[in-house]
Amino acid sequence: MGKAAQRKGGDGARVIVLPADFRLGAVAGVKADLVEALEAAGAQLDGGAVERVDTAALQLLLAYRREAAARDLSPAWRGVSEVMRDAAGVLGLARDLELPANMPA
Amino acid sequence: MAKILAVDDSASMRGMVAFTLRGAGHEVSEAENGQLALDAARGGSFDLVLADVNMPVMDGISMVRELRAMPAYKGVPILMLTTESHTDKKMEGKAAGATGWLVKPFDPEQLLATVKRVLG
Amino acid sequence: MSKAGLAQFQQVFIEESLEGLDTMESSLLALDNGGDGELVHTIFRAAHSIKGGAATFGFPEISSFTHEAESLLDEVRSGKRAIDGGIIELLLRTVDCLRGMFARAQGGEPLNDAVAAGLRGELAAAMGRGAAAGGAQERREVDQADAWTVRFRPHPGMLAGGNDPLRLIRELGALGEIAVTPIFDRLPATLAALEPTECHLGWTIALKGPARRADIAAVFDWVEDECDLAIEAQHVVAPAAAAAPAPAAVADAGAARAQREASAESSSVRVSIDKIDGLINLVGELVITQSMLDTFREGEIDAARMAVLEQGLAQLARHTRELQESVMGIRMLPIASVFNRFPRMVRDISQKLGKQVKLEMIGEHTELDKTVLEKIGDPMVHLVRNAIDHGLETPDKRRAAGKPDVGTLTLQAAHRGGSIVVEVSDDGAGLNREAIVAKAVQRGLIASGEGLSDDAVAELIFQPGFSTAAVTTDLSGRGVGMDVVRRNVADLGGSVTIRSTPGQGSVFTITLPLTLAIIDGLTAAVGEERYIVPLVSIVESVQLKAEAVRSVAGGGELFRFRGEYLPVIRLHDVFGCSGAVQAIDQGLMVVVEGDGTRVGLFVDGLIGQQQAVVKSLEANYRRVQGISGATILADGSVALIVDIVGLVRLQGRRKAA
Repeated sequence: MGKAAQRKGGDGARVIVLPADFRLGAVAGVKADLVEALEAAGAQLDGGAVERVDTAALQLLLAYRREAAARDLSPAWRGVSEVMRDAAGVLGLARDLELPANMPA
Repeated sequence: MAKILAVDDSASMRGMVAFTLRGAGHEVSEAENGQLALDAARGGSFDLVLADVNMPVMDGISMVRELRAMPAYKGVPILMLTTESHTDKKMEGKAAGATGWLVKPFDPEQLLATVKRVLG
Repeated sequence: MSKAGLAQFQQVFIEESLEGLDTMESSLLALDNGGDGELVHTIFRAAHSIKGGAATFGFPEISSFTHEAESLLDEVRSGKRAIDGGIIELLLRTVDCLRGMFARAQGGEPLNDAVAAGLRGELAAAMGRGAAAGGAQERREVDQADAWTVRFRPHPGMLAGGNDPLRLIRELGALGEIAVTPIFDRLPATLAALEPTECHLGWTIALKGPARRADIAAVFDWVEDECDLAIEAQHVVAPAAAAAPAPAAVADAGAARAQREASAESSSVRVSIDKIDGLINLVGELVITQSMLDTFREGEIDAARMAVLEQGLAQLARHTRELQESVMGIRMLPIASVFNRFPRMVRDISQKLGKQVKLEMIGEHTELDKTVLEKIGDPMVHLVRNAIDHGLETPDKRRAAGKPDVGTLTLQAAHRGGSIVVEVSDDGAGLNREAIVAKAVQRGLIASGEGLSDDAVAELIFQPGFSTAAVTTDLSGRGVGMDVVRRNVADLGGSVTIRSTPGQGSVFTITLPLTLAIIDGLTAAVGEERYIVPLVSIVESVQLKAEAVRSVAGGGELFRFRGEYLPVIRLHDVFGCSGAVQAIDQGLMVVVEGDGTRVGLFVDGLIGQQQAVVKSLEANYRRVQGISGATILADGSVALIVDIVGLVRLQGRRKAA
């Protein structure tokens, strides 16, 4: 439920690490981070450690991605777990989330 | 596997549910009524709650309402174990925030299938 | 695993259902006496649990029978029907009928009988419809296609209710190949405007594969009213022959019966979690103490270590005692289960006799050993019948005596010292001294009532074959007299006494040991032998002067104790012990009371008090008159436990002979 962990990537960019249990209970906290990131010209999303995910989580990422695109921020995924990739596929959201074709989790 | 809270005032029904789920590798806690279930829910986290509708002290519907008011139980699946085949109890449970229901009588296989369904 | 898994809960289910029926009965009776509406819910809940459980645990007959009662209760509960005496009567008979069905379930007999069939009809009639009505099969929509389009728009609140579209669409994917297109039109334009726990998305799902509409609808059955859903067939195939609903699984009757028989074999006790937790704690303490004591295996034991050792042993003793108490506690059950059968009985009997009786029950939570509990019911039934039949007066007689029309019958249970005291009291006429004396004379029990104290007269009713009823009613006159009550209670190691005040009523007091498995007793030495005298029966022990005991004609001996002459029973005589003290002034007289009679037991001396774990003599040897069991003493030797009631009776027979 807490906020997603944030750290600076090696290249100095802001990185938002998505929680392992990224479901309804966690979305409010992650949303706050994402809103902040938008103000700070975007961030990289690291979903490599996500073990559980639901519609609410993917919907949140979708809303983020859509606003980021409107602000001309390019997508920047640092990691996507298999669980996330699979869920996005089931919900037909993989393309809109601009998930990288294949990236080591 | 998953952490499940089984709530029923009937020891036999609760026992059967717990026994079946444990046999499938789940970690099961038991509570005799809605009030005790709320206490258990506050003291731990569960992936699924299975609750009878008619119970003394606090019935299943009120329990669901209270659980849903707890931030940690938003979105956590709660299934009502109900004998009512007509819709009013199901709908009352749903309105209170239940995820779905399992109609009694059910056998262990049906229980496991439903739990599997809801846990994905 | 499912069948074996189920069988182990069948017995539990039967037991809790019987409790549920008791609850139904007592609530119905309370309702009959103007109880509040909450009772209806209690009754409904009990019926509901029985119905649901019966179907689950393999008793469909009980389930469908209870369903009828439940439907009726549901109408009462929802206010569609007012409850009246007729309905209460009908439901009470339903309770009785269900008890019968459960009894047959335990015996593995067919569950339905003529009574059940008749009652079913009555319940259905009360609902205003024929028994055959209802159960019309819902017409199922049979609709099959090779390709479907499903439009699915969750309402915003669906996520919080635990239904995740991700799961639902996955389930749909199990029916065929799916292509999922999200609908974003309700997604807010900015992230900040998004309420992240609500669902703002929708989906159009194309499903390829032969599927029935019902299969697709079943995926969404829990969210019917939490989403907008449209299921459209894209490629319709010719409708198949009306797909019949899957036949209900036909249980293998033989197997089900075998299961029931297996589960009915051993009786069980339901134990509260608190008691078990207490035990687990104690065992934990024991383990700690044991490992502490274990350290004494090695090394010298000096004074300091000796102190620790003694402390450890004291701890061990305390824990062992507590553990013993806790384990015994598992067998302890509230007397409520016995009390609860009385409201119904009192109602039936008083109606039959045209008497008005208010039943009061006090101390229902008092706990008794399960074995005692099972055996105390019959004596109590007799006392209660007796109180209504002989004790309480008809309303006009009561009015004439200046008493309220309604008589009061009180059942009261309480712990008193190491015993349980159960009282059955009434505010009726009390014992009729003249009638009792006349009957006793007629029966040849006494020559005349002259010189007999009221207590002595009261004692007469416990004599075999005694009955004061001018007319033998079908209620009390079942060939069971108060003598049988006293004997049954005595068999449990207890006693029955009566106090009666003319015009004000009678009190029957049953005193019972807390448990049958352990008794507190004094160890008495008699020659080389050791005997345990149960503490509950000991009044006092006195050292007598030789002249205090007088021989009487016929070989008996008497001594004076608090203004009464008591017979002396020399234990060494009764049990043939050698080397015992013979002279009165060198031994000890232990005054004991059994069966309402006091006697003096003459022993060499008392060694000490101890708790004795009772071992059955019958099981290990044979029944011995005057001995209720045996126990192992600390030094490993065997001591016999004196059966005071048996000895008193033995003495009585000798006196009579």
